[in-house]
Amino acid sequence: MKNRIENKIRRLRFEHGEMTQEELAGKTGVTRQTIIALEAQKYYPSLELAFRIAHVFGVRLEDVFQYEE
Amino acid sequence: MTRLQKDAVKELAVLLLAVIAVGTAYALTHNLIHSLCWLGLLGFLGILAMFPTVGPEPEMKPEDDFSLRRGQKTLSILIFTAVWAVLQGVYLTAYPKNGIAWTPTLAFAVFALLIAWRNRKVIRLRYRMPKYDEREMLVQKNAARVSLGIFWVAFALWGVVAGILSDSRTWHLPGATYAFQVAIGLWLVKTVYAIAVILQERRAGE
Repeated sequence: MKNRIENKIRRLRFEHGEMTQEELAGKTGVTRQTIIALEAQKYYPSLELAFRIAHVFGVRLEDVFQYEE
Repeated sequence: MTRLQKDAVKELAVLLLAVIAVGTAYALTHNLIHSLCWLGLLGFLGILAMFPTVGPEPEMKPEDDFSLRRGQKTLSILIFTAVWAVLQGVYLTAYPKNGIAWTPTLAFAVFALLIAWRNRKVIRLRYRMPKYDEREMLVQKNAARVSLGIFWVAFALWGVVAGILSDSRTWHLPGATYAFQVAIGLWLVKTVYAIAVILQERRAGE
Protein backbone atom coordinates (compact mmCIF):
# COMPACT_ATOMS: atom_id res chain seq x y z
CA MET A 1 0.00 0.00 0.00
CA LYS A 2 1.27 3.43 -0.91
CA ASN A 3 2.11 5.80 1.92
CA ARG A 4 -0.34 8.71 1.87
CA ILE A 5 1.76 11.00 4.04
CA GLU A 6 5.08 11.84 2.51
CA ASN A 7 7.83 14.07 3.78
CA LYS A 8 10.75 16.04 2.42
CA ILE A 9 13.00 15.78 5.46
CA ARG A 10 15.95 14.35 3.54
CA ARG A 11 15.79 17.09 0.91
CA LEU A 12 15.37 19.82 3.52
CA ARG A 13 18.40 18.52 5.41
CA PHE A 14 20.57 18.84 2.35
CA GLU A 15 19.18 22.28 1.58
CA HIS A 16 20.15 23.36 5.09
CA GLY A 17 23.90 22.96 4.81
CA GLU A 18 23.80 19.18 4.51
CA MET A 19 22.55 18.85 8.05
CA THR A 20 23.23 15.34 9.37
CA GLN A 21 20.56 13.06 10.78
CA GLU A 22 22.39 13.30 14.09
CA GLU A 23 22.11 17.10 14.11
CA LEU A 24 18.42 17.05 13.25
CA ALA A 25 17.83 14.42 15.93
CA GLY A 26 19.58 16.59 18.51
CA LYS A 27 17.59 19.67 17.55
CA THR A 28 14.25 17.88 17.69
CA GLY A 29 14.97 15.77 20.79
CA VAL A 30 14.66 12.32 19.23
CA THR A 31 17.08 9.53 18.36
CA ARG A 32 18.85 9.31 15.02
CA GLN A 33 16.97 6.05 14.40
CA THR A 34 13.71 7.96 14.57
CA ILE A 35 14.92 10.37 11.88
CA ILE A 36 15.95 7.35 9.77
CA ALA A 37 12.49 5.82 10.22
CA LEU A 38 10.83 9.13 9.33
CA GLU A 39 12.88 9.59 6.17
CA ALA A 40 12.15 6.04 5.11
CA GLN A 41 8.41 6.76 5.63
CA LYS A 42 8.25 3.92 8.13
CA TYR A 43 7.07 6.06 10.99
CA TYR A 44 4.59 8.91 11.15
CA PRO A 45 5.51 11.53 13.74
CA SER A 46 3.21 13.09 16.30
CA LEU A 47 1.91 16.55 15.48
CA GLU A 48 4.30 18.01 18.05
CA LEU A 49 7.37 16.39 16.49
CA ALA A 50 6.18 17.37 13.02
CA PHE A 51 6.01 21.01 14.13
CA ARG A 52 9.43 20.77 15.78
CA ILE A 53 10.95 19.48 12.53
CA ALA A 54 9.30 22.24 10.51
CA HIS A 55 10.54 24.79 13.06
CA VAL A 56 14.14 23.53 12.75
CA PHE A 57 14.03 24.09 8.98
CA GLY A 58 12.15 27.37 9.37
CA VAL A 59 9.34 26.30 7.05
CA ARG A 60 5.62 25.59 7.35
CA LEU A 61 4.36 22.15 8.30
CA GLU A 62 2.96 21.48 4.85
CA ASP A 63 6.35 22.23 3.33
CA VAL A 64 7.73 19.21 5.19
CA PHE A 65 4.76 16.84 5.18
CA GLN A 66 2.34 16.33 2.33
CA TYR A 67 -0.88 14.38 2.38
CA GLU A 68 -1.76 12.75 -0.91
CA GLU A 69 -5.48 12.31 -1.65
CA MET B 1 21.68 -1.70 15.94
CA THR B 2 19.49 0.69 17.95
CA ARG B 3 19.82 1.08 21.71
CA LEU B 4 16.45 -0.66 22.22
CA GLN B 5 17.70 -3.60 20.16
CA LYS B 6 20.94 -3.74 22.19
CA ASP B 7 18.94 -3.90 25.42
CA ALA B 8 16.61 -6.55 23.96
CA VAL B 9 19.57 -8.70 22.82
CA LYS B 10 21.09 -8.47 26.32
CA GLU B 11 17.75 -9.47 27.78
CA LEU B 12 17.44 -12.44 25.41
CA ALA B 13 20.96 -13.58 26.35
CA VAL B 14 20.05 -13.56 30.06
CA LEU B 15 16.78 -15.38 29.35
CA LEU B 16 18.63 -18.04 27.38
CA LEU B 17 21.14 -18.34 30.21
CA ALA B 18 18.23 -18.82 32.61
CA VAL B 19 16.99 -21.83 30.67
CA ILE B 20 20.49 -23.34 30.62
CA ALA B 21 20.96 -22.67 34.36
CA VAL B 22 17.62 -24.19 35.34
CA GLY B 23 18.16 -27.17 33.03
CA THR B 24 21.61 -27.78 34.50
CA ALA B 25 20.35 -27.34 38.08
CA TYR B 26 17.51 -29.78 37.47
CA ALA B 27 19.81 -32.31 35.83
CA LEU B 28 22.12 -32.15 38.85
CA THR B 29 19.59 -32.02 41.70
CA HIS B 30 16.37 -33.46 40.22
CA ASN B 31 14.65 -30.91 42.43
CA LEU B 32 12.20 -28.48 40.87
CA ILE B 33 12.34 -26.00 43.78
CA HIS B 34 16.14 -25.84 43.75
CA SER B 35 16.10 -25.32 39.98
CA LEU B 36 13.59 -22.53 40.39
CA CYS B 37 15.75 -20.88 43.03
CA TRP B 38 18.68 -20.87 40.66
CA LEU B 39 16.40 -19.15 38.17
CA GLY B 40 15.59 -16.55 40.82
CA LEU B 41 19.25 -16.02 41.59
CA LEU B 42 20.03 -15.64 37.92
CA GLY B 43 17.11 -13.23 37.57
CA PHE B 44 18.59 -11.11 40.33
CA LEU B 45 22.02 -11.08 38.70
CA GLY B 46 20.31 -10.35 35.38
CA ILE B 47 18.61 -7.28 36.87
CA LEU B 48 21.99 -6.06 38.10
CA ALA B 49 23.68 -6.69 34.78
CA MET B 50 21.04 -5.33 32.44
CA PHE B 51 20.99 -1.59 32.21
CA PRO B 52 19.75 0.62 29.40
CA THR B 53 22.21 1.39 26.67
CA VAL B 54 22.85 5.08 27.12
CA GLY B 55 22.85 6.50 23.65
CA PRO B 56 24.13 9.94 22.77
CA GLU B 57 20.61 11.14 22.10
CA PRO B 58 18.23 11.88 23.71
CA GLU B 59 19.71 11.70 27.19
CA MET B 60 18.04 9.38 29.64
CA LYS B 61 17.26 11.76 32.45
CA PRO B 62 14.27 11.70 34.75
CA GLU B 63 12.21 14.88 34.75
CA ASP B 64 12.87 15.70 38.41
CA ASP B 65 15.86 13.80 39.71
CA PHE B 66 16.47 15.59 43.00
CA SER B 67 18.53 14.15 45.83
CA LEU B 68 15.68 13.12 48.18
CA ARG B 69 14.06 10.96 45.52
CA ARG B 70 17.42 9.49 44.56
CA GLY B 71 17.95 8.47 48.20
CA GLN B 72 14.51 6.91 48.45
CA LYS B 73 15.11 4.99 45.24
CA THR B 74 18.42 3.59 46.52
CA LEU B 75 16.76 2.58 49.82
CA SER B 76 13.89 0.82 48.04
CA ILE B 77 16.36 -1.03 45.80
CA LEU B 78 18.35 -2.17 48.83
CA ILE B 79 15.20 -3.36 50.64
CA PHE B 80 14.07 -5.20 47.52
CA THR B 81 17.52 -6.80 47.24
CA ALA B 82 17.47 -7.88 50.90
CA VAL B 83 14.00 -9.46 50.60
CA TRP B 84 14.99 -11.23 47.40
CA ALA B 85 18.26 -12.42 48.92
CA VAL B 86 16.59 -13.79 52.06
CA LEU B 87 13.95 -15.63 50.02
CA GLN B 88 16.62 -17.07 47.76
CA GLY B 89 18.86 -17.91 50.68
CA VAL B 90 16.10 -19.75 52.47
CA TYR B 91 15.33 -21.94 49.50
CA LEU B 92 18.86 -22.37 48.19
CA THR B 93 20.29 -23.57 51.47
CA ALA B 94 18.10 -25.98 53.37
CA TYR B 95 14.37 -25.29 53.41
CA PRO B 96 12.14 -27.29 53.34
CA LYS B 97 14.37 -30.27 53.95
CA ASN B 98 16.21 -29.15 57.08
CA GLY B 99 14.48 -25.92 58.05
CA ILE B 100 15.96 -22.48 57.59
CA ALA B 101 19.75 -22.27 57.81
CA TRP B 102 20.20 -18.77 59.15
CA THR B 103 23.97 -18.38 58.76
CA PRO B 104 24.18 -19.04 55.00
CA THR B 105 20.93 -17.11 54.47
CA LEU B 106 22.34 -14.02 56.19
CA ALA B 107 25.66 -14.46 54.39
CA PHE B 108 23.82 -14.61 51.07
CA ALA B 109 21.79 -11.51 51.98
CA VAL B 110 24.94 -9.55 52.89
CA PHE B 111 26.63 -10.67 49.67
CA ALA B 112 23.61 -9.61 47.58
CA LEU B 113 23.43 -6.25 49.35
CA LEU B 114 27.13 -5.65 48.68
CA ILE B 115 26.62 -6.39 44.98
CA ALA B 116 23.61 -4.06 44.91
CA TRP B 117 25.54 -1.30 46.71
CA ARG B 118 28.52 -1.70 44.39
CA ASN B 119 26.22 -1.35 41.36
CA ARG B 120 23.88 1.24 42.85
CA LYS B 121 24.43 3.79 40.07
CA VAL B 122 23.72 1.27 37.33
CA ILE B 123 20.67 -0.07 39.15
CA ARG B 124 19.32 3.43 39.69
CA LEU B 125 19.68 4.12 36.00
CA ARG B 126 17.83 0.91 35.28
CA TYR B 127 14.95 1.69 37.58
CA ARG B 128 14.38 5.35 37.03
CA MET B 129 12.18 6.30 34.15
CA PRO B 130 14.42 6.81 31.14
CA LYS B 131 13.53 9.40 28.60
CA TYR B 132 12.77 7.65 25.36
CA ASP B 133 11.54 9.47 22.32
CA GLU B 134 8.01 9.02 21.00
CA ARG B 135 8.90 6.30 18.47
CA GLU B 136 10.81 4.29 21.07
CA MET B 137 7.89 4.56 23.49
CA LEU B 138 5.55 3.33 20.76
CA VAL B 139 7.86 0.38 20.07
CA GLN B 140 7.91 -0.51 23.78
CA LYS B 141 4.15 -0.13 24.10
CA ASN B 142 3.51 -2.38 21.08
CA ALA B 143 6.00 -4.97 22.35
CA ALA B 144 4.32 -5.01 25.78
CA ARG B 145 0.92 -5.40 24.14
CA VAL B 146 2.10 -8.32 21.96
CA SER B 147 3.88 -10.09 24.83
CA LEU B 148 0.92 -9.78 27.19
CA GLY B 149 -1.47 -10.89 24.44
CA ILE B 150 0.57 -14.01 23.76
CA PHE B 151 0.91 -14.64 27.50
CA TRP B 152 -2.86 -14.59 28.08
CA VAL B 153 -3.51 -16.85 25.07
CA ALA B 154 -0.88 -19.30 26.35
CA PHE B 155 -2.33 -19.01 29.87
CA ALA B 156 -5.84 -19.82 28.64
CA LEU B 157 -4.67 -22.75 26.52
CA TRP B 158 -2.58 -24.11 29.38
CA GLY B 159 -5.56 -23.77 31.73
CA VAL B 160 -7.73 -25.80 29.36
CA VAL B 161 -5.08 -28.51 28.83
CA ALA B 162 -4.21 -28.75 32.55
CA GLY B 163 -7.92 -28.86 33.42
CA ILE B 164 -8.62 -31.69 30.98
CA LEU B 165 -5.57 -33.65 32.19
CA SER B 166 -6.40 -33.27 35.88
CA ASP B 167 -10.10 -34.06 35.30
CA SER B 168 -9.22 -37.28 33.53
CA ARG B 169 -6.90 -38.09 36.50
CA THR B 170 -4.08 -38.88 34.10
CA TRP B 171 -1.83 -36.23 35.57
CA HIS B 172 -1.27 -34.76 38.99
CA LEU B 173 0.62 -31.49 39.32
CA PRO B 174 3.07 -31.36 42.24
CA GLY B 175 3.00 -28.21 44.40
CA ALA B 176 6.29 -26.89 43.04
CA THR B 177 4.87 -26.83 39.54
CA TYR B 178 2.72 -23.81 40.35
CA ALA B 179 5.77 -21.70 41.19
CA PHE B 180 7.43 -23.03 38.05
CA GLN B 181 4.43 -21.98 35.98
CA VAL B 182 4.81 -18.39 37.22
CA ALA B 183 8.49 -18.46 36.23
CA ILE B 184 7.66 -19.83 32.78
CA GLY B 185 4.97 -17.16 32.36
CA LEU B 186 7.40 -14.37 33.21
CA TRP B 187 10.02 -15.92 30.95
CA LEU B 188 7.52 -16.03 28.08
CA VAL B 189 6.47 -12.41 28.56
CA LYS B 190 10.08 -11.16 28.68
CA THR B 191 11.18 -13.28 25.70
CA VAL B 192 8.29 -12.23 23.45
CA TYR B 193 8.78 -8.61 24.51
CA ALA B 194 12.49 -8.66 23.59
CA ILE B 195 11.82 -10.33 20.23
CA ALA B 196 9.00 -7.88 19.46
CA VAL B 197 11.31 -4.93 20.20
CA ILE B 198 14.05 -6.32 17.93
CA LEU B 199 11.62 -6.97 15.07
CA GLN B 200 9.95 -3.56 15.33
CA GLU B 201 13.27 -1.74 15.48
CA ARG B 202 14.25 -3.21 12.13
CA ARG B 203 12.28 -0.41 10.46
CA ALA B 204 14.59 2.10 12.08
CA GLY B 205 17.63 0.31 10.67
CA GLU B 206 20.50 2.04 9.00
